[in-house]
Amino acid sequence: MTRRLIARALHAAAVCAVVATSVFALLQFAPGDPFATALDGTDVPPNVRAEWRARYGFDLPPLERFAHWGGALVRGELGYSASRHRAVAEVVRDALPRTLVLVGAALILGFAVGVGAALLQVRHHGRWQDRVLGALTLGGVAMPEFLVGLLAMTWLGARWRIFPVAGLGSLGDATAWPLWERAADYLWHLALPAAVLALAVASRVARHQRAALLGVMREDFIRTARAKGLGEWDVLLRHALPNAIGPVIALLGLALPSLVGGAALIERIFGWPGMGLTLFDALLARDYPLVLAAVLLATLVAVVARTLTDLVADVVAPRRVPVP
Amino acid sequence: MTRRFALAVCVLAAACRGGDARSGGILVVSAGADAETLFPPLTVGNQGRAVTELIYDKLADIGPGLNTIGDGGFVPKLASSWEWSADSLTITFHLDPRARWHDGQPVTARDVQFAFRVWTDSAVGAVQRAALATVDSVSVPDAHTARAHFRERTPEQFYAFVYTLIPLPAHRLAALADTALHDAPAVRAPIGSGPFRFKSWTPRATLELTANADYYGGRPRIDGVVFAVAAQGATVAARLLAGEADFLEQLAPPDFKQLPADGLVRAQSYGGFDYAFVQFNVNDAAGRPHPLFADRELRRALTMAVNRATIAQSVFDSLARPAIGPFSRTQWTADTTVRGIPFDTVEAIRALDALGWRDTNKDGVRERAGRRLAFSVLVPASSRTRQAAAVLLQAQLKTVGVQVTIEQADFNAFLDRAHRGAFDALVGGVRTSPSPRGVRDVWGTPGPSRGAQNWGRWSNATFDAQVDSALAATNTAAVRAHFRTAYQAAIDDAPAIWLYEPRMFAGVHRRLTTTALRPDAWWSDIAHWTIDRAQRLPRDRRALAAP
Repeated sequence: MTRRLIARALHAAAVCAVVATSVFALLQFAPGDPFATALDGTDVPPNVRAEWRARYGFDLPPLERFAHWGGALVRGELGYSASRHRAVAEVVRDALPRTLVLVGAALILGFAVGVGAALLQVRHHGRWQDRVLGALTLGGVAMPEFLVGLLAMTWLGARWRIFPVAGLGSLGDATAWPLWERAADYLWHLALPAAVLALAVASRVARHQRAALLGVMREDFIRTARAKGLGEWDVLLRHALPNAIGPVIALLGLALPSLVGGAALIERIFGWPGMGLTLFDALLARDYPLVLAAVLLATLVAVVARTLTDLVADVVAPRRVPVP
Repeated sequence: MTRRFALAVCVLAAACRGGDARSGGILVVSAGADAETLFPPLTVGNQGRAVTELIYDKLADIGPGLNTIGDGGFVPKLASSWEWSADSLTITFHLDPRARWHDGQPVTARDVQFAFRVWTDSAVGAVQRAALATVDSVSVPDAHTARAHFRERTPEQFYAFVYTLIPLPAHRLAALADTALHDAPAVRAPIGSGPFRFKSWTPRATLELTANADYYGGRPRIDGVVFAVAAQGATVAARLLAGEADFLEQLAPPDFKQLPADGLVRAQSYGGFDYAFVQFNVNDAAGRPHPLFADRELRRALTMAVNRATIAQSVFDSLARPAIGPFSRTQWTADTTVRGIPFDTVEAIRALDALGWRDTNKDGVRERAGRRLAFSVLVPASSRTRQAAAVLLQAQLKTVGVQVTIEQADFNAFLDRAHRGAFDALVGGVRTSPSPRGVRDVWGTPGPSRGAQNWGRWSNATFDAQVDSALAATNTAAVRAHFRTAYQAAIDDAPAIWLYEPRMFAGVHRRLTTTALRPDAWWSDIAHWTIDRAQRLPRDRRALAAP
């Protein structure tokens, strides 16, 4: 296990290094300037532009900048965000927990709903419940997240006013509310973006889980369980599900990068200032240190999540060793 | 006498009742962008200006007439009065002794002097430093008197000084290194002198201000302002339409269709400083003429072929007017009587034929000497209205045998290509300021003192000379006359097709009563806005609970 973890850590470091170098190189080729939009005034003289470039080290050649950035990274510094006038580490410290909460909530919700839907489909295999849920999950996979997000925000937020339109919490004097009220308010604001993000996860999980369950349901031990007189739900929950959930847990690890990518759009629509929105803003502003930090973190999260899901899958559903 | 006194008491009582009924509450502004910084010398965008100008007061503010010549119409703020020296090279500001920083310290002349040092320090990199180029120094005869010394007399010297320079709290910031002023904690949690105090800032989410009860100009009537930020345009409008916000700076055309039928939100018109245009690339960065657009007659023929009224109507419905020239109608130097190039496709076709551009191979595109009359138009992907205008332009020019290709680029890449002159034509937009000086930067011949944003590198000696004369004139009639000649020269020479001027409509929740919105700063009078007590919301809870 230790050897496996070390190998994984080395693999993660290599992936991060490749990603960082590639992104840095790509940014050099991208048209634009870190101060183009910030200094887009008619009366900003060229010397002020030059001062800003020098202040943030953009007057240096790209290789020298990369060396500076890499050296700082080794020392644990992520650089300075010119568009935010803050250290990148501070920006990340604020934004990362919000994305983790959003993505975490979406994962839990998506996993629970997806597995539940798959169980229902298998329980009613071949009947109308199976077909309706199959169509819904297909729609959930096919619908672009930004479209679902815009529709949800417009109808459930602006028109019917069931959920708040956007933001981390109620505006005004909400900070003076009691803790429980603020927590409830936070969850209320989290509900819609997390549900939208969870929709695609749930749909994918449901389709994979259904297929895995149907495969397991043909196994001998399921026939044995039924022969012992167990009810169909008992068979499903106690015997089929533990043996069919491993691949789905591995799927979650694979789904995480796309979930983080989807979060960028959802955060933008629902005004949720997490890492996705930060990366989006940083790209538009050509804020290179912030872009690099955000991409590196996303890579790291994906690699760690993949490792963790592999480990969890092993623990939850150890592979059955064939009897000789 | 007794009757007069009784009447006065009645009026006062009625006024007080009215005031009680319409005071307190938290104003939520739905914003599409966040302040980039809360340090006035570094603020660039409107959002940053809005926040910093609510926290910090200026010495004097431009009046509702938006005059920028001399000091006519300027409203006293931190400076209760001012006087000019006989040679106009010195202006002495007398500070209001009641003015206090939010930590209770008095605002002094040293704060004005300190602000001037910060603004002109290259280590700070103040964006608007050029506006203070004619100011030599600021002296401090006594604690409540600041004296600005100018190197030269200019008609807009007063405007340039008070509109740009915002006094800063020297007692808090002077000890910091200039290079630390970008992100020091004292800068991120500012102590100002204005009607609202800084409360909290969650970047890209919310920025909260509370009413300054000790404000020397009187406590604001509302309890606080919250700027709620969202990056997506649809979300910004949805917040207002759902009643989660009270105010939105500008309603977009699609927002009007969604205004609730119950009258929850109303549109309030105010003047705007924006205009949009299709700019031709006349000369490249090396001064070489563009193969198409160096030809004045071709530019005029293309202008004639474009129905700008239809474009404005199609893109904005009734929310925009065709632009007239290189100015906005809201500017005091605007002249709506200048002669434009009329829309006339027959004349446009005749002019193109006369220039030798003919469709000889009948493929729908004109040619001349083996070159097709085809070019690309660069459009920022962030602007749906400019994209829509480009599509209509493409269709209109196709009818006269001109092929237009639309190129989209994100705004940063758009600006990069514009600055490098790497385009044939672009759909650009300008937000002018009260001062007509900006026209020199956008349309003046590129050089050390002008034309920094003249991306098409168009050059016209008459235009340059008339603008220079206008900006040197002290008589408003003379200024207008020079600008009229300059505008006419630009319109006749057609460096651009002047497309449209959007009409500005703010979205206002029915519980909010605003005052007139100033075109350059809609937030300038927020301290006098009121929220109807009968329409309080949970977010106003603290205000309701207050005695």
